[in-house]
Amino acid sequence: MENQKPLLERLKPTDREIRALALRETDPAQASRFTPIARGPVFAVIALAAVGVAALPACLARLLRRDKGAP
Amino acid sequence: MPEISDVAIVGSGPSGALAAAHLVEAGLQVAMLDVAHDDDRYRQIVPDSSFQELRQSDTGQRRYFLGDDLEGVPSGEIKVGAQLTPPRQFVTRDTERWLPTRGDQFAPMQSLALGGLGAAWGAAAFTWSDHELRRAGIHEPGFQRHYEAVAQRIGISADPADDTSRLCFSGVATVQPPLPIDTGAEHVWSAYRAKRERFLARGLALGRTPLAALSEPRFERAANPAFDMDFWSDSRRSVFRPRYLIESLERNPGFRLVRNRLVFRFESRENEVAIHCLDTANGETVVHKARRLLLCAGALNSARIALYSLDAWEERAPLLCNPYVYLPCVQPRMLGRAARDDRHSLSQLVAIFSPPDAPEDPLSCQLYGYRSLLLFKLVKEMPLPPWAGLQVARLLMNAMVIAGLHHSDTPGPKKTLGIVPGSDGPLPVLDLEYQAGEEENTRQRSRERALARILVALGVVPYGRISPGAGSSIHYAGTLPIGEGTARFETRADGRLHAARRVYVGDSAGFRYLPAKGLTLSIMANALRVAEHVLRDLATGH
Repeated sequence: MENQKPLLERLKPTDREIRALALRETDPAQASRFTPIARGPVFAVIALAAVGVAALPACLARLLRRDKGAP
Repeated sequence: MPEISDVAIVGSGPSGALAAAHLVEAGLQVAMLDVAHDDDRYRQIVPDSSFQELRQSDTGQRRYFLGDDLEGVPSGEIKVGAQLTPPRQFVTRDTERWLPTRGDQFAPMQSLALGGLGAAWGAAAFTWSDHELRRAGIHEPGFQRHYEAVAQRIGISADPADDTSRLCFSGVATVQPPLPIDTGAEHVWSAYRAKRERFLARGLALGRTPLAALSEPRFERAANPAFDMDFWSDSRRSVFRPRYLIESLERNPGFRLVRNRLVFRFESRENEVAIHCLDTANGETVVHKARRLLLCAGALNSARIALYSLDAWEERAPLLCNPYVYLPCVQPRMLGRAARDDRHSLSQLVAIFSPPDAPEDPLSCQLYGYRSLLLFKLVKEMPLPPWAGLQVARLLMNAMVIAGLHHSDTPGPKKTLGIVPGSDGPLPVLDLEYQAGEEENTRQRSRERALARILVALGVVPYGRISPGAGSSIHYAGTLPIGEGTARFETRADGRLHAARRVYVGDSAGFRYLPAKGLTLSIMANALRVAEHVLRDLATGH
């Protein structure tokens, strides 16, 4: 069933990952990791591109893992 | 309180509360029947502080941001009601059990809460034009005075001089100054001001959203503290909630709120109405009596009660609901820039777009920021691993704008509801169908594309279109429409049901048309209009 979903859907985080993220986000000790990053537009564009490139291997790995039926 | 009330009102939402206030002040004995669930879990634990401060320092924040049972962490596909934060979820409590529906084309949000859906109202307060009131069937000479009366009771902050006022907030004198808008909205506003004539020529007017939120203290309520907590709590009671009015009415001996009452049927007798209710506390059936009954249970539930009472098992009533989509947008000008933390979370700006093909039937677009909603909800929708999604969300958060679009709605052959016997509980099941015609869908998409192009010119770039499905606007109407009485479920122009001498409809069930604007202010104004007719009816001595 998993590999019948559209590609972008399969790349989305699982409910379990989101639950873990939500718990971290509401921990005041980790609040600084969830604040807006406002270091200017140039930094933002470069950072967005860098995150995209850095996430590519993880996205591919996730697709392969899910095609094999892992969560 | 006598055994027979002058008027029994079903429902404690915006229409019920306003009608009750009017009738009680006229000296009548009023009983309000409702299940009236209230938030007994979270309201007391949300501190009186700003979103930013709480995020950084409150060790108890998990309880109200995520919920004791993590009910604030959505799983699976987004459904109607997913936008309710844990402190607001009492609004829909027990509705699946007590207000059953069927049909996969329409997913409604219903309420058994004190204040009804008004307990989670986004506070946008629009007036309708005479033309729109006429199409809806509720126009009467001097209808504007009802808007004025509502504004005096609930408090509205607005800018009566901006370009949208003549289109969506006209004729109301009692207003407070508008609430300040946030940094992102300021940029949109200045882009509009710079080329205002050009935007107006393209059919777009932009202005502050009129809000039922105080910008100055009034009625034992405070000005909005700009805590950015409006989705999580009723900070200092700035935003109007029907329960404030009901609390004040409870101090009047002429008013009684009867809780745990699920009304399912009425019998209009010679001298009274018998109202059959389920006592939700013990499961027993209880009968209340009144000289007049005013249905304010919401368009869906008022129809359920009326159709059941009239044994109209074979009939299909119309169903109206504003089609709603939202466009997640990025504001490039805000990318990487800081934004002020002191803001309110409600709609910042409203655009009224009158397309050249149908200038008299505009669509509305409300602009919201994303800052007071937690990032995990954003990450959930990104096709990225959570760590990457989080960094993208942090980079985009200040530049994110949500544009919520409403279209108008008219009756159609496949927009109907009926009742079928229920298997559990006394209420019948509402059978809902809602399918817009192909031409209607095409027209809406074409208008959305035209509006999206103008948003880009305002510096707001849509990158998607999310349609949560029929029913998601939570603007329901038209189920007991004002008409000539050719169908038994129709109401007269004064709000009275044709088929039941002593029963009136005070909510949006009577509307025959829904303009593309929020309907709550018009529901309240119409409730005052119908309450006046009820008063007049009782005064004639019947």
